[in-house]
Amino acid sequence: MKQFLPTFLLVVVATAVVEILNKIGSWDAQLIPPASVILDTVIENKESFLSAFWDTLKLSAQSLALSFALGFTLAIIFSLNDWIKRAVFPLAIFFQTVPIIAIAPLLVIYLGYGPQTILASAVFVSVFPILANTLVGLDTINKNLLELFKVYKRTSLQTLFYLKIPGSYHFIFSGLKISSGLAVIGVVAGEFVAGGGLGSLIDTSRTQQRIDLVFAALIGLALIGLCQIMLLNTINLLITRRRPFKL
Amino acid sequence: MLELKNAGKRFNSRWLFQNLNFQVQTGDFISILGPSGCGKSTLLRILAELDTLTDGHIIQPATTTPGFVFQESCLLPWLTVYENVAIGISKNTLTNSEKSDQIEKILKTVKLKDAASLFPHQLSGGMKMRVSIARALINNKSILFLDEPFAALDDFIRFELQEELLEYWKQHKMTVFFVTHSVTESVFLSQKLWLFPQGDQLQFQELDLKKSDTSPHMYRQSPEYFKLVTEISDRLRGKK
Repeated sequence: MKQFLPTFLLVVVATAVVEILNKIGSWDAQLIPPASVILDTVIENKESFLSAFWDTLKLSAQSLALSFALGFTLAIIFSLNDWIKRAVFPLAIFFQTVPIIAIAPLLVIYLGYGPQTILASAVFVSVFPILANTLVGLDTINKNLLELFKVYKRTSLQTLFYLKIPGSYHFIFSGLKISSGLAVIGVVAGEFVAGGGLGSLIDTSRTQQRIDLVFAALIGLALIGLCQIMLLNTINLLITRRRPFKL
Repeated sequence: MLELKNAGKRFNSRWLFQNLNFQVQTGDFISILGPSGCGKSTLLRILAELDTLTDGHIIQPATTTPGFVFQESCLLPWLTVYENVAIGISKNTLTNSEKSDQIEKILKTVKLKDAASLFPHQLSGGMKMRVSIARALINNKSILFLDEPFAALDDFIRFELQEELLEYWKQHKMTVFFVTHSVTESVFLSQKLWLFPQGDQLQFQELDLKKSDTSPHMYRQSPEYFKLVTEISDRLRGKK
């Protein structure tokens, strides 16, 4: 926690300066609202804000879980079958280069308005880091350890479950951390076109010039990202305390 | 029991060795000795079926799972000492209590009984190598392949592990192939030497050391040991 102290102090000082400048009339609250204004806005729109926050949080977590299941499974399949990997992986790289904001309208046409489109949008964005990182982990296991399993006549599945997957733990976890941020981005992009959540709140607030609401939603999104990273770090700590995964 | 016939291995256009013919009897302790890059580790990997010959063929004994020790201890960091050693058990027919007995017995042999629940990062270099050796020895393996296992250890630990390995071999008489670039180590440990002399790798030599049966500690200080070390060093440099 000590490492975050300078950042925390900087935020506190900046917030205090903005508040003071706003009180003495030297700050344009229309452009960047001070913390007290944002807080008032959140309290004023408590119900709709909390509902949007909860929708975005729920869909971010769901899409991260789905991306993990999909990316991890695909990486295992690719690792077991080189032909499938060579056929499908370049396509995954290709689709990764297409911006989600360009794909999202297409998803609405295919899947309609609602959470299914938002989930699809978020999974589309966040699956690749998990897939790529897991694949790197599975493909870069120490050659001597692979030979050791060969000497002891272990099957491909035994080598996968007892050596490759545990040996890729740090790669998988890094992919998950990258994807947790991307899942929030994917959910917001989906909400822009499919409606609901903080994404939709930002979109409607923009059309009404409600910058205070936009800021409140932005802080909400940052909180969701932070919560996910903190949860992942806690899970990682609990796992690595029991088993020191590191090759 | 194990035989190589006209064996040869080539990397690109360079032959590491050619026309090797030899037979290995059960219970032989053979050191494969030569300078770095001469092909001794490749030969060991071929014997362990991790690599293939370019020429000739190899007759392996009836299906048996060997033990293998690398220069690095190659332990799985997320497994305890006990679990790392368990990897060496290849028989699925053993019950859990039989497996447990075997692991405890071998950990006692390598003096790691009290470290069974520790993880590799909690062990010293010598202890890690002991775990690696225990993993290779467990299940009373009849063939053991060791690829410069003591090269990264300090003299004190190295001498200790050499003596313990020798004692274990004398008791169990498994066939051992030991790759090293140390003349003293090969003379101390083995009965037979396969030499890759410097300069011309194709001049492969097989030597039976005909050592007297003295205790390992006494043998290291004996005139016979120093004489053999001098003789083998000369052979490696092509003086004989």
